[in-house]
Amino acid sequence: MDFRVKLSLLNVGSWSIFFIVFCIAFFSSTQPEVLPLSNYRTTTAIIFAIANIVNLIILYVMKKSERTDERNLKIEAISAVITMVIMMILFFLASMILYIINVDSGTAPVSWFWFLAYGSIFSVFILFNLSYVIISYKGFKYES
Amino acid sequence: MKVKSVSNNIRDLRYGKNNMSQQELADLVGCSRQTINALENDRYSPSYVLVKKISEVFDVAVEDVIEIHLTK
Repeated sequence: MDFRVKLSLLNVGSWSIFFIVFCIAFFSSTQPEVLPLSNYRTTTAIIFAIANIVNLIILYVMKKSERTDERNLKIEAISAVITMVIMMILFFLASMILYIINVDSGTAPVSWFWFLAYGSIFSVFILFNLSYVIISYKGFKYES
Repeated sequence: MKVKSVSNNIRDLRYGKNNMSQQELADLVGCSRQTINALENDRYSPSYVLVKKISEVFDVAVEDVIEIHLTK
């Protein structure tokens, strides 16, 4: 297993854990005793900051340890496109679900926009790294 | 035209040149060892520049590194 794939897997793992903790913080915000901090926004900001620091460390180690070549760049480009398309679909679905659920009342709970904003960033990192790992293993066929 | 088959001679060329390792070849052409491995296993379609560099290392023609057979 090559170094970049290992780090991508590590990234998928760390961002997934942070995303799960973020979801727990969000969905249990009505039960502040479950969390070390009662305000879920503060908790989310802390989770997000830690996740970003971990990601920056991983990026720093990756840049110092491995040569980037045309194959890496091609995998990254394809991963970025895949991530963008999936995120568009997810964001569309989430918005439509929010709309359908709240169309009668005419207003949507503002906390869901908070969740979507942070959730989309977590999702981008998870999807990008996951697709990098999959494409690395699958490889490229010669194009006709 | 479509790609019918691809025959890759990089591994044979390496073995023919004092059993050169993938890492040595990667260092000479400026890519990672994983890229050479992917090339040898037909899991990566390289750029012309990379194939040209490999051909220069082994002092052979580009067609001798990777042969692509096309069908109409």
